[in-house]
Amino acid sequence: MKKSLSLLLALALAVSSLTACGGGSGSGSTTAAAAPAETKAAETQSATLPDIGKVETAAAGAEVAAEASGKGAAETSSKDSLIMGYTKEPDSISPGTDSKTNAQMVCQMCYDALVGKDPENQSVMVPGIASSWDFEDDGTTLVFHIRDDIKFHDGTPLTVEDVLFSLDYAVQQGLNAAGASILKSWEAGDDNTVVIHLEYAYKPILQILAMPGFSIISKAFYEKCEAEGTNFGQVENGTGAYILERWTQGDRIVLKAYDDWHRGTPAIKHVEIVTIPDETSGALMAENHEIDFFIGMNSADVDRMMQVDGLTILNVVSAGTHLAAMNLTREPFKDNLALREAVAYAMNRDEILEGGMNGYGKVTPGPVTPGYFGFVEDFEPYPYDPEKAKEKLAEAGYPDGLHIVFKTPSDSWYCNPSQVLCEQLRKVGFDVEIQIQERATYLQECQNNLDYDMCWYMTWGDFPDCDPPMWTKFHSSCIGQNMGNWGGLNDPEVDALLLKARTSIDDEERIACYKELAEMNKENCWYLFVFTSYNPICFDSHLKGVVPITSVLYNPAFFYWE
Amino acid sequence: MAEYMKAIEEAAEPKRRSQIGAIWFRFRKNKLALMGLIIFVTLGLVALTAPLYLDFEKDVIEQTISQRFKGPSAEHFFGTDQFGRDIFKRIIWGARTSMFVGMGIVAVSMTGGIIFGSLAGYYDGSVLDNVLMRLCDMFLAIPGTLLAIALVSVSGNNIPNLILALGVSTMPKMARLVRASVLSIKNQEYIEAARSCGTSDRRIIISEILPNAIGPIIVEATLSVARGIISIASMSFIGLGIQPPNPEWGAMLSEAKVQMINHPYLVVAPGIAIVLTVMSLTLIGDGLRDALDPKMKN
Amino acid sequence: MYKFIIKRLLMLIPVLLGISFILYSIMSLTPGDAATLMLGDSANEQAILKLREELGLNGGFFENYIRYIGNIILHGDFGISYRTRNPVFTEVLTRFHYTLRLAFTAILISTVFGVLFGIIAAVKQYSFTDNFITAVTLALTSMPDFWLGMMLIIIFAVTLKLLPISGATSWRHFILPGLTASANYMAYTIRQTRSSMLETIRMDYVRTARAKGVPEGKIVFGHTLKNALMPIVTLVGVNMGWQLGGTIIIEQIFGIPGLGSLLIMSIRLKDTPVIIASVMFVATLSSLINLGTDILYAFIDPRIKSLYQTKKKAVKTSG
Repeated sequence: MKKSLSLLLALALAVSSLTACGGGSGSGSTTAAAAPAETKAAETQSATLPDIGKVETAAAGAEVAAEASGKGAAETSSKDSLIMGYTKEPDSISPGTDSKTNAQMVCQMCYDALVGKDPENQSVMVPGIASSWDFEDDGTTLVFHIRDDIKFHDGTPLTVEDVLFSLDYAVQQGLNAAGASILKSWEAGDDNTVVIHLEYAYKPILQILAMPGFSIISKAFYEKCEAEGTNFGQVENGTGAYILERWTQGDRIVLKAYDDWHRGTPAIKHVEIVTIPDETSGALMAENHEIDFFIGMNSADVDRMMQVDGLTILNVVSAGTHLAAMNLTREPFKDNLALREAVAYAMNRDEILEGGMNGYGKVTPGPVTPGYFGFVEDFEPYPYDPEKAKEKLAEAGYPDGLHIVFKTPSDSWYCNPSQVLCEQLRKVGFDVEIQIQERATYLQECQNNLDYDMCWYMTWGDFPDCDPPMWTKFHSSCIGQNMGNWGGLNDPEVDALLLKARTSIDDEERIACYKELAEMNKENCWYLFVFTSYNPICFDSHLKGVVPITSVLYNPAFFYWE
Repeated sequence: MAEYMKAIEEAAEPKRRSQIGAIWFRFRKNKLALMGLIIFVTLGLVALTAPLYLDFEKDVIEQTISQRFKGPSAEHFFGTDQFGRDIFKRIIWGARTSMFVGMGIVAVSMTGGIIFGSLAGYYDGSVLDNVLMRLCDMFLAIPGTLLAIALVSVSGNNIPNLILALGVSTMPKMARLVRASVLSIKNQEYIEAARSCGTSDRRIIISEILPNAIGPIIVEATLSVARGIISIASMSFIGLGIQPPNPEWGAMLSEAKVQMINHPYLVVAPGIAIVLTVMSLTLIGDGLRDALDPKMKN
Repeated sequence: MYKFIIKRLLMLIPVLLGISFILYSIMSLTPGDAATLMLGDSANEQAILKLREELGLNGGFFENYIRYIGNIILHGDFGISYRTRNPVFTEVLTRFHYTLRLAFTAILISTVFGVLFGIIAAVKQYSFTDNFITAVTLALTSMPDFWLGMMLIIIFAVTLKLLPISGATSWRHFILPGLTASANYMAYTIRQTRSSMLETIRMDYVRTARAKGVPEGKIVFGHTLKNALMPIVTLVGVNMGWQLGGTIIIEQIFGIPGLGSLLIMSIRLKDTPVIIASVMFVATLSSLINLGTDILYAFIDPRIKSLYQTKKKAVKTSG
């Protein structure tokens, strides 16, 4: 008697808990599912993928005012909500705290910076919190005129105080280190302006100030959070297009439009961003229209998804270039040019791209990401020549082969290309031991301690100028300490060249410098750049206004439903 | 005294010999167990002799990018993977890894388990016993997978560390089992007799108790190998197991997962290999358990 | 009885301390640190030092550990997550209810179907049905849970499109993961039920009932079942304990943001406070469940119950 009772009780508990929890959170998907169901109209899908690496350096005459509301108002359907999906949830959305692109994407939805970017062209700056700006003193001083009509989401007006406070805050965030080193000081000027003094004239300074890490925060709100012990990274009070309504950890972030956004009222009123840890599932959910927009598709799914009606797939050239680094600070690669050349000749970039990334990317043998300022078209690396590689290996003093350790993190987009490269090296006589490591270990050993023979990694450029990634990779001051000179290169000539390129305000001079740097790198085989990957995104074809963005900082404020 | 001991040992020995014979007889009668044994031995032979008919460099790890993702065919029985390698050959080679590492894990957990378990059981109730059992509780309270992941992260990702980490995480269970076995034998009369003869504790444990406790230990060891193979596959699946390009069934499944929808055949073969191996080991283990148990319930 | 309970609860404390020490040591010995991982590749040295100071990571190993334990014991403060800066237990509890739902689904499926098939197998012993069930049971215990999950996804979610692939928003999202998580213990339950049933059927009182002319159905469901099911209670308890900590991989495959996913993410990012708190949480729950099962079992099984009662009587007479 008692046993059956207890069993029954347990059953009842189980059933009730299931039904109790099951109701609430699932309601969001219904709106999204409804619309595409009727529309069978197939968008023309091109059979071959358009190579949309759109970030050119063209200065455009883009109008500043034509934002979401202007375009959207006339043709929008009544549909005004959007469900997005990504694979990694942000840990924090406050400016400059979380390095993940997803976190920065949400950050720039909720916050604004002094300067904005033209939604059609990421190289073109448009006014943000500042309505205009002037360069003075040969480019070492910037004067920003702050708009006086902007309010934070809680209704308080934005003042020069907040801008100054935000700069104080921003330079303390570890992620803004590059930018922080260029800003010298800042103070309020007359007539609602903020004056910023730079260490030296730096052309891309506006790009830096447009980054989500330099968004303007509310001083009063920040101090309130500190006083109350609220986690500033998980709440927001910005001026951006969207207000954080609800954040269910592990599940989704829910946002609603801020109608008084200074760049216009967004057409999309409700945004839900769902965390879908599995890339394939995300693609399938987009296919089933359970979500409208998915960031983080796996290259393996692209071909199949291209065949689906009603979905648009864009292959966006990413801001990351993959490269193989050799440890220049110790044997065997130190001072052994022939050995490094052997590796260079053994490398078959096309095969690495094909086998490692399913062909979704662009072979880039030069140091700069395609489309970024400083990119050299038609750069010829050492050709793939395994016979010559074997010769070089013998010339380097290892005719019977050499045992090297190749380290790579466990993410598939690092370790798959690595495996292909290691196999290529093995074929010419290297005895390669591949070590796949957890990210933590990998960063500690390779980035900080330079304890590796060869490793694979990716550089990321936050904005379309090649100075930051080039500086951190090649400058001798960036070795170890979590910086980007993983090879350990220490060459005063290179340092001088980098400084010249950084501080010059003449575009042609800068381009010439970077070209020279690329040639030096090729001759000396310091770093072997392989390819730039694509970041495919897929979204419902009825969603308009989507422009491929290399830095993955999409903002639904510029989208609208047709 | 010495002759007395010798006489006892001689009397004991023939009993053991025919005991093994009897066990084998009972085992043979169990058709399922026999089938399991045959399957496992076949797999084992195929795996052991692999270097004779497979060339590691050419057949197992060499990549042919142009041959990626070919479906099953006469040339490639199970198709090719993302780097153009023959899956069938990799599965055969993977058997070597799985079996070797599986047995390694059991060796580690058995060694530690027997030492600690027999000490705890023999000195039952003492401080040593309590300390050892509390330690077991602590390790058992941490989810096994988690402990293994954490340990591998500390020590680095190579085969000896993997064996050690997984062995340590399964040791508490073995220790518990050994302790229970030892406890049940400890109070038998012949043990008391040996003790009254003045035999040292160590000798008693090694010569008298363990040989009689060995039955359940062997059963557990067999089942442990089975579980070990699955743990290795799980670790490799998360990316912490065997390093490429060495083939391992779990790692192959991990690579297959991304391509699950485009090329589902990639998921089938390594999974069936695991199921077959583990199943045969389980059947052997169950068969041993039944064969060792004098009061067989039919 | 109460002394027994108190003793079991007290034994929990050293176990919890031990767990925290073991995990803290392991995480401290691993290379890489939370501050570096949080700030990313491009952060500079100063920022990292500052963050380490904030998180209390500077100082020697023992100093950090004592500080950490001290906070827990004296203030009940388990610290903040290095990753999100949220209080640790907020993280654990928001994730926990997903794992709980998964666990309940799995236990429901494994117990209900396990008992059902176990009974069928026992009643139709040696028939084709019995052998088939045994074969399936064997296969279930022999497959890795992630493979079973993948196969289920391929069949039900992709090919037949009956169920969603991943996520945790509706009850339908928990069917496939629940099935996958239930496989192992369903197999054990089937075997246990079958052998218990067979054992009880042979008992004398069953023979007596049959001799009396009681219909077979009543024998199976009335007399045998109740007694055969007692070991199942223990099994459910053990199952529950396993479900809380053993579904790490299943949660990864099905995209369920539960405790298992949190644990893996925390290990990868060296978020030590979250790791330790989650494991302590799971360990405490498992111990309590085991304790509860033992007590329940004592009430259900009259033989054990009488054991306790005779002890009391024995004490009384001697004292």
